[in-house]
Amino acid sequence: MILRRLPLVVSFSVLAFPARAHDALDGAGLFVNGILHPVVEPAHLLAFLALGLWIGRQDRDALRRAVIAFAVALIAGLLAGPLAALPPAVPIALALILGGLAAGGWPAPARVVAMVALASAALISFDSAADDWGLALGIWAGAMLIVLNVVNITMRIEAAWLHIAIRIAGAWIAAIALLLLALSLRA
Amino acid sequence: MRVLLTVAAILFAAPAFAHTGEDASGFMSGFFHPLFGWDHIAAMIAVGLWGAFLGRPAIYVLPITFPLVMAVGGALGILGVALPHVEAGIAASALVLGICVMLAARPPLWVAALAVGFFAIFHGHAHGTELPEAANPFGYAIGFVMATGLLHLSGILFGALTRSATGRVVVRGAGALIALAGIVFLAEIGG
Repeated sequence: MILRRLPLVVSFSVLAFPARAHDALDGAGLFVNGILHPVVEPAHLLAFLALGLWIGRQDRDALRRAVIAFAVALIAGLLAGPLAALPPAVPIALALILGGLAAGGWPAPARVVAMVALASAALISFDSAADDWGLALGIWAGAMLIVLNVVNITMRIEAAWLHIAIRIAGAWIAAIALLLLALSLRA
Repeated sequence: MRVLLTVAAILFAAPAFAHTGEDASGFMSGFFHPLFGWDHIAAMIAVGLWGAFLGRPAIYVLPITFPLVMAVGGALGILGVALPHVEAGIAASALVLGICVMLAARPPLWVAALAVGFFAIFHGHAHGTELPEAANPFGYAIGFVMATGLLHLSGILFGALTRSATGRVVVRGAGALIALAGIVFLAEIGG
């Protein structure tokens, strides 16, 4: 029940945040820029979508642990600031792995799912290099908004053909990530 | 049904594009790249049709594995790894997959996956070599993966006709046409 309502709560809290003028994005503050961060970081967007698709198909216990691990690790990593500089290929490789997991559709033990969610959050937070609290909170809210909404949709799916559609979506994400990975290695 | 209609409405809604043709290096370019080549279209639809004949689990294993293997080919193209006879491989894919559909061939799943995967490398390579030139590679990658997937979907939906005896004849006839097209593609390369 909590998981079902959480996307709505996050959505409202995000929408209720006031916009600030004179920031990086015209008419928007650092918080809003943070929310929009996945739009300018395609690898992050792909990773969030794939993670949501994968953990949304796990059992409730694994799902709950994964969401909590992701939320806590992401906010902790973001607020800790840019601790390590990651090569651009790392978040793309993460999206590739998560897309592969979603395509495979394998159920995994709750601990493994939570560890994958935690590692994903850590890598994304390092790569985000948020140097401001407002930006960090915005990135967290944007990430949670995407992941929770995808989880919310995925966990409700019952029709067999929609389960196949989820796996195909995972394959598409992995394919796109693989192409972007090759491109980043070429650069 | 509502979900189907919603998805269809989203996918087939025709957006109004000002400055048509100027976005030649992003999503639209990637999306239309497979759709502007008859050799790509024929092979992608053949994959879907063959999946319908092979039944479960091939009907969904092939659309899941094809984009992944195609992306491997695309990555080779992006990294500048030369692949011999790419165009011939693409043309041959239409011929071979068309014949498989025409004969309603039902080999073991791993054989079908291997055959489809082999040809996917050539298709991916052709797309991948153009991707580095794109101003928006992310949009290009999304576009061409989506277009490829939708072509598979078209093939699978058309392949649903195999549930009736008449439909099986129609689908096998479509396979014969694709094989014929493959011969024409190969002849054009040879000529």
